[in-house]
Amino acid sequence: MEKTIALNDQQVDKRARRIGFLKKYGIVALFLLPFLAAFITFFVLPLIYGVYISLTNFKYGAPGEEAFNQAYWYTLIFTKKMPLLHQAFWASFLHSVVFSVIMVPVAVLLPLALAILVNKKPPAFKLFRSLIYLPSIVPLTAAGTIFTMMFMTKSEHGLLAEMFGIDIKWFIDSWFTFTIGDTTFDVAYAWIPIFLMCLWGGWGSNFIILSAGLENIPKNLYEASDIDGCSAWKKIMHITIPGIKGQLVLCLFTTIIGYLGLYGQNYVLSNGGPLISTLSGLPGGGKTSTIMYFIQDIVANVPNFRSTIYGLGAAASLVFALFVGIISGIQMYCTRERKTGTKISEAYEKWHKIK
Amino acid sequence: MQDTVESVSLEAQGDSFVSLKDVNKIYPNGVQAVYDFNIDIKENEFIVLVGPSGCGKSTTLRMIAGLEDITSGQLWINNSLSNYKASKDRDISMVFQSYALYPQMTVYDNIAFPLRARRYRMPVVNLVLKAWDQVVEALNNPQLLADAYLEACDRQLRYSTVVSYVATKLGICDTAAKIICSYKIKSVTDLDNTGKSGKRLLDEIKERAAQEKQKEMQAIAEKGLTVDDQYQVYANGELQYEMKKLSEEEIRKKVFEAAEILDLGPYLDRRPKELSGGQMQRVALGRAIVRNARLFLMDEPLSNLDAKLRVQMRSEIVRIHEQIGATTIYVTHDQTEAMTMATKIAIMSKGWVQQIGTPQEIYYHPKNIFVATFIGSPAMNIIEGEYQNGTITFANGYSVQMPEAFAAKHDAYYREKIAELEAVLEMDDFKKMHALKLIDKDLFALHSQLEPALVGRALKDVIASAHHVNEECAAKVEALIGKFVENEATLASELAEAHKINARELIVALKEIVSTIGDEHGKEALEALNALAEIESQGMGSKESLTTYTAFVQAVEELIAYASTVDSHILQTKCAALNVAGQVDKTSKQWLLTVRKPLLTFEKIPSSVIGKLHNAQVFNKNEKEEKGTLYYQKPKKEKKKHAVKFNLNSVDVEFVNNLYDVACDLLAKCNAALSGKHGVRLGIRPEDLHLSSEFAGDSTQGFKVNSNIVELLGSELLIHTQWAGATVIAKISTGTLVKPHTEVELTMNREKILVFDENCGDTI
Amino acid sequence: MAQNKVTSEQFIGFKKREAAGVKKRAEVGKIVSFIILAAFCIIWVMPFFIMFFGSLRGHIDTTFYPKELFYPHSGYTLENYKILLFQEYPPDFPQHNTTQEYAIGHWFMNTCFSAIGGTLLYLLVASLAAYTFVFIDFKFHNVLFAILVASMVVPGAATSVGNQSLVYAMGLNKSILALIIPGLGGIYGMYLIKTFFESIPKDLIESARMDGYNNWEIYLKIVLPLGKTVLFVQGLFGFMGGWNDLVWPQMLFGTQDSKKWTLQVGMAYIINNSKTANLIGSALAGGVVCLVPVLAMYIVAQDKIIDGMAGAGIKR
Repeated sequence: MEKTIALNDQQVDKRARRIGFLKKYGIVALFLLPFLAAFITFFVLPLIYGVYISLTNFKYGAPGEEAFNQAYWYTLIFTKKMPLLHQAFWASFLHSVVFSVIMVPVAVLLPLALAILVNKKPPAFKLFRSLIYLPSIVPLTAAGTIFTMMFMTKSEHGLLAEMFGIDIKWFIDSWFTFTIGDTTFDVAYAWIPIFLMCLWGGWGSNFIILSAGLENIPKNLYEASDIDGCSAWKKIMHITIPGIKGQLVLCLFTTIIGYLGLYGQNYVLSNGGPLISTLSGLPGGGKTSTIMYFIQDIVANVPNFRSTIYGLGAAASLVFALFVGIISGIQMYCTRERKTGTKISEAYEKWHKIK
Repeated sequence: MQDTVESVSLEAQGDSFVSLKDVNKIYPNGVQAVYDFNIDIKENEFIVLVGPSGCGKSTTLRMIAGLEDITSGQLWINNSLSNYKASKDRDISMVFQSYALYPQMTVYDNIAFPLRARRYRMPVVNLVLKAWDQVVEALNNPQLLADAYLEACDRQLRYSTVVSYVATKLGICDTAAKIICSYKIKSVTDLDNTGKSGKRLLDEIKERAAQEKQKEMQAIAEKGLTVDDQYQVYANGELQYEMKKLSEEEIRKKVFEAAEILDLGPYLDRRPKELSGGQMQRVALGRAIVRNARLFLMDEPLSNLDAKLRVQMRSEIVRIHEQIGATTIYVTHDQTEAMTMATKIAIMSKGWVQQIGTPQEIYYHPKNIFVATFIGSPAMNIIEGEYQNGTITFANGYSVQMPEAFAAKHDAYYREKIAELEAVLEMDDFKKMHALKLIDKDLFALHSQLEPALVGRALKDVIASAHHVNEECAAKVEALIGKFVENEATLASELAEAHKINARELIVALKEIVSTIGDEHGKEALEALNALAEIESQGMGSKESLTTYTAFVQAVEELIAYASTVDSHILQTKCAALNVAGQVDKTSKQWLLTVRKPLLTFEKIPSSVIGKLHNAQVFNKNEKEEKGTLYYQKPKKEKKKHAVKFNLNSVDVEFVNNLYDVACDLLAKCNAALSGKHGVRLGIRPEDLHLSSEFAGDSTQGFKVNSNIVELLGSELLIHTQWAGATVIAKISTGTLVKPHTEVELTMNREKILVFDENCGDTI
Repeated sequence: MAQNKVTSEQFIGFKKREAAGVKKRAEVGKIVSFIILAAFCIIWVMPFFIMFFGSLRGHIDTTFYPKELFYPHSGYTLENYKILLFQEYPPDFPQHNTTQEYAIGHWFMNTCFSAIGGTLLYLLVASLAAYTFVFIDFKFHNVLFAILVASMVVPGAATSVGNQSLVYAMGLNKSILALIIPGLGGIYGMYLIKTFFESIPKDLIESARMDGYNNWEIYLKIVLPLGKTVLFVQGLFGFMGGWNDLVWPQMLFGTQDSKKWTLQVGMAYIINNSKTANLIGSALAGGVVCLVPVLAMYIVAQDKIIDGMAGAGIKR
């Protein structure tokens, strides 16, 4: 009799456990499913699909009819099979890289300098902090209208032309050209408004992050260094800079990656132009077109490209993504935890023994 | 200008190493953190500043360190006036509560940091000669040399650390190690290889050594210098000195020595975040001791550690202090730390130093009740009682007959106190306060505040609100003030008359006081009074003739007393309105401007006087802990702004009344104490309470208590009990166990009884 | 030579004056930084004024009196807003051609839908996921989360093309839902919310479980109220991101009927068509319309935005 009861107990227990198990995973499924479904559908799947498209002669608007084409799009990018397209891609790529290299020191050092000033806590520093961040919330089209108005030509009564008499066709003229090897580089004036627009509203988050970093440095480190007899320079080198090192690295890399993907500013202001005469009619054929511009040209802006060379857009975006991924990897490498060495303690042991 | 002042020798400070004289600290927001700090610290002493949090101990330390400005007073360190010396020039090192370690540096770099920051005066050493000699010497043991180089390279270190590794291993200087490393000797046989010049490498190095030495000797001789066997350079027989930074090898040696003292060897490569609290603490100590500063400052260095580590580090710090011998100033809030570590303790409370002395002095002869209860664990038992003729009687009737000498001591103490207070009250500033008090009392008291025109309405209001309460109440109020409502007109005119009479009486009283004030503000006030007297002296009777008025004042007082017994908020506020109704009239404003203003200048109250009065306030038996009501704590700015709108200088009124009141009150109580029965507080340490069956010394009569809680600590029993209206703890060392809730008979050791004055908390 | 004897009081007085100089220098540092910051801020705020006053200037003033910016020659006018909002051109307005209609009402609604709806939906989905990761212990949750975090390295460019064609294949390319649904799988916001949820004491959730609350109730009654700060911050970021997004809506609807556009796409179109003195005013007016919602949000919640951003920067 007793045994049976015990058995029953166990069975009940088992059943309860099973129900509990089902309940738990039911909840997990219920709570996690929306997010995971979205993640898989709109991240994993597109990634795979993008790779697939880049390897086929996919036509937008007619899915299902494509066939593999021996990495044809990649050969276009990496070989001079179609020299002009090849040139258009790499010119756009170069524009992105050079622009972000120029932009990075500005977009890190300027906010750093301002953060140091704000951190001195002058009167109304909170107001200054808000105002400095303010341009960063402005939608870039709104910002674009302002800079368009400033840089319109004299005949259209642009602000700069009227106020200061600078008569330059900002979005048409070429600024200067230079030649390296047998390639001639043509730099358009249009880069100046683009640069200024980025300068105006492109580093607000860096500023906030850096000033938070500065504020986070413990005050008694400075006091301790006072007692140790440090000069102001040493304080900056040994306390301030190391104290915000994490933030600096973060800002540096987010800025690099952000400006590599430059698209809106040049789209709004110069529409990628002025056109390079030899590349007109090709995606990214302008003097201010960037890699994102090249991709957007194919997949969004020009219906003709979309229906013919859609796969090239996919391939270009994957090449670009790989490049950005490598930079992210470098960032992770830079911010990794350093392992502790043992050399000084070994030297100490040696010294201890000698003694 | 600067040079002449600096070159002047200021008076020496005797044998004290650090000395603070009348140091005060007032923060820019008006809060005073430290009052009148005086201390002399001898060399090699271990001073602990102890007190509850917010008592100003850390501020004092930071002033000594130069991290805070000294508002007034003098700070002498090593016989030089250091008020305005930069921190780094004070030859101090400091350990912070949060350690203040540089997070990106290894332990080694952290400890080395202070050494790298500054230059030292050192004898000039000729490194070239020294290095080559050491190279030749090292070559005598080629096996060791090759091993060292190989080991250093194996770990793929940066070149500079290869050098330092080799240097450490071979015990040679860095320059020599650099030379050796440049030859890349990986094994003994390498030395037999042919070098660049085609000779055997060993010979080549030795040859080069000889050449270099020769060259250097010549260069030295040309300059007219000589070098001894320590490679120190002499010019004309005199040792040469230079200001230079420590070399890496010297730093290494010092850091290693510090690491040895602190047992940090295995952690030298780690960064602070990889260390435990105790280790970080030791690194912070290491950074302090590595510089051989003569003064150590420690700001609650152990408060972030857990209990066990704290005990361990405590003895560690004491050991280091003994080993190094630097003068140490240590701040803590933990009295156990203070008692175990210090050679001298300074106890602080609310910015005031309460007592300075050795741990024994402070423990056995506390100056006042604060010190007595703050030091010792468990705290001293304080029992309130009444003193008369050498006997203290408690609330439950038990009495203690004090030793015979005590009565004389008691009288002497109070006489001294009275003399002191009388002198204080004779001071100009206190007379001003007295005058102000009279003015304010009359200006803001009931009968002169009430505007005659408003009287009728205020009275009706009161009656109306009384009707709302209940009938009984209404009847009572009607009976009290009903008749005044009827003859409102008479009352109003008599009130106006009373205003004037009061003013005249006040002027007479004030003149008496103000005329004795010595300074120019007193004279100014007197002039103003004279001018007022002319206005006020026109045709008036005496106050007694105003019958309605006198009755009214009495009735209102009764009314207010009655209202407070009735449970009606409205009635109470209306009655209170009777008290404050109306505004200060025109004459009153004149009073404020011309008479009060010159009197509101207190500049010469010495802080020692405030200190005495401070204690009278804080340690008074009846003192309730209310923040910000202490008279000497100046109000914050925003409060003042607010108040000025309503009443001129109203904040100062509080300030003044309080200070003067405290002094007067204290004086009155001291006088009372001399003449007869008065309250005292009796203090007895737990260990001086004994079981009456076991104690044979000079004991008081036994008393029975019920043990509420019993703790066993080692061989000692702690008995908590309620007795004579206080919680009493007795520490009894005994073999017999006392169980909770049993009755035991205790007795006090009469020799150890302390008696505190109930008003100012001082030990009698 | 008579030695110049100085008392300690004199010495302190002298040094005090010297120290006052040092203090003054510190004060001077503050003032200098104030001046620099003030000058900088004035320059940095200028464009806002240019935009605002430019939008209140009629096309005739813009053409003939271009220098009178802040106080237009013939006074302020709402002409530009009328052009933008109601296509009401003034009678003397010269010929111009736009191929697409300025359907700014539609754009505004679309943007509101995508920014607000998308943000709210994302907060719900992401906070549920974060709750599951933090408070429910299931197999492989660490592995799963590690995979999600690792995927943050992949930049948006890698998935956008695939997304575009996938959305097309799913038939979503005509639906406005396509603006918000792809954003639901974003990791960054979920990561932020999860880090915050981790700081909620586990005891709280466990004791609620003992009291018989189920997961949904715990999520609703305990975790959400406690986590409202981070949800608010993430909501602000999400809203501003959605409001300012240009690339994705353009990929979806750039070549379609202008009624499907968002404000950003429409504005980009307007700017590209308005690089003339006549039309720039209406473009500026469009900029103002575009800016006002985010500006209002910033003014109301600037402390939260700044703190949230600073917190995210410090934590990482």
